[in-house]
Amino acid sequence: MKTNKKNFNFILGIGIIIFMVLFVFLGRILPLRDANAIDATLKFAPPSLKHPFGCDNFGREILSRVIQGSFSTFCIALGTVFIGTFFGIIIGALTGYFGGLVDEILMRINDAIFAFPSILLALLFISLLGPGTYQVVIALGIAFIPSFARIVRGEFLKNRNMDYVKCAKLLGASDLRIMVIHILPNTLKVLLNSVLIGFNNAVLAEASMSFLGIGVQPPDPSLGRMLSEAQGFLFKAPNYALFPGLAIILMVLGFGLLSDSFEK
Amino acid sequence: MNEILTVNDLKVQFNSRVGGLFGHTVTKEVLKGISFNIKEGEILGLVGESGSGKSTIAKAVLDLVPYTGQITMNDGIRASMIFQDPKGSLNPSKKVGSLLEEALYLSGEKDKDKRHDKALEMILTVGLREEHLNRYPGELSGGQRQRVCIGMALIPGPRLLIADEPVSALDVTIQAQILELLKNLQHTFGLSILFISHDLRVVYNFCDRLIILKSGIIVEEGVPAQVYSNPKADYTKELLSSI
Repeated sequence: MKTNKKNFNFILGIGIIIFMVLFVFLGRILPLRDANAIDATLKFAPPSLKHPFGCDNFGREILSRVIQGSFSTFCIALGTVFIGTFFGIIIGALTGYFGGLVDEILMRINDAIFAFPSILLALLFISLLGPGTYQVVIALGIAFIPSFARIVRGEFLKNRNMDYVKCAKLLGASDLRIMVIHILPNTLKVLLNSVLIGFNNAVLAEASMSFLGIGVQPPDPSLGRMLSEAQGFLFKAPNYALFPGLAIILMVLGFGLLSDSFEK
Repeated sequence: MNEILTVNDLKVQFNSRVGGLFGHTVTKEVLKGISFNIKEGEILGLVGESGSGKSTIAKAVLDLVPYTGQITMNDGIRASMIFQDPKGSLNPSKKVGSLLEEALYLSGEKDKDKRHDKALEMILTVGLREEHLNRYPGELSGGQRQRVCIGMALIPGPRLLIADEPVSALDVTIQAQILELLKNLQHTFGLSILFISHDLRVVYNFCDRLIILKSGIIVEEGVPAQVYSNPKADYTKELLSSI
């Protein structure tokens, strides 16, 4: 019964992810109108065959903006998780494996960063780096490092005293070899799960930052900013808020279900 | 016969902090001056209850814990170790074949094809089949896993094998098979074995000589038959009566 539910989560999650990936990547190939093209005659055009998601307050095609926005959200989340995981693994492995003073110093810095909500921390970095797509990736990436470092550190701490590590040490393996070849593969299962959850958090964080106007800069579309722009026209053109919202929900739901199905 | 390992006045102590920030360091003496030797081709049994310092002796010989006193191993002699829990001493994310090949790589075999051939040879030596190379440790039984561990321990070409409770986690029938394998390997490779156990019954048939350890001190030493029929120390009598 339990496994059935997990399989269901897995299939549904994978299904939604495939749908979103196809939607985003096929959408970029389709001959749609440019996401930033303004046409005053199409202002608040309702959904129709020609404009399936309708048009916004500048007469821009919402479908192509949702596709473009999902694409940039997807890429930003991917970049964020990559930075977070990469440095998280390095910091977590060093602190977990060696312990001692290195551990104390790095983990206290980690705790300090961890104590801030990641969105607040990202805001801080943005104020230093200035707004923009790459800046968002860097800011969110840094904000995401501590959570990954913590997880990797825990796994290394658990593994470093196990007999198989002693065995490798006795055979003459170097510390680097033990960390990379022997222990790291054993952390991947736990890491995969946190990567999926981290991806979700990154999607939401990027959307919130764009909503606040410090993410992707106009006129380039972003799901978060589309939502914030649509606020004023909620009754006039509900489709303006509906579709970008739906795109965020589907993206988060897909990865959320997938990570659920991997949980023990 | 030559001594392969001589241990003289071995002392090990562990420091641990109690009471957090304003606490103090407590020193616990685990080994209080141990002296013994192992001769070439000899199986020496090391018996004691848990906490008596058996495993610490093994760790000190392999230089895994700081110690005082002298541990002299004959020139160029390598020591390998087999651990109690064969599940924990095999990396769960690697297939048996790559575990053996990694051990070969670390022992200096840089040629990939030769590594593969030697891994196959070793898996057959410890009484498993070629197909086991493609299994993960989790897919093997406890006895099979311990065979793989023995194979990995033999790869560096050791003259001394330290076996820390190698059969304690196994069923009685499997215990007998593993002990027989160890005995055969000892003959084939001319190994000396330091056999650590808490079980006097296992040690009796397997060892040439035995040492009984209590709270970090050797209380009795001799050949099994003599120790069993005529124990000197009270602690040995106590151990024997509990069998």
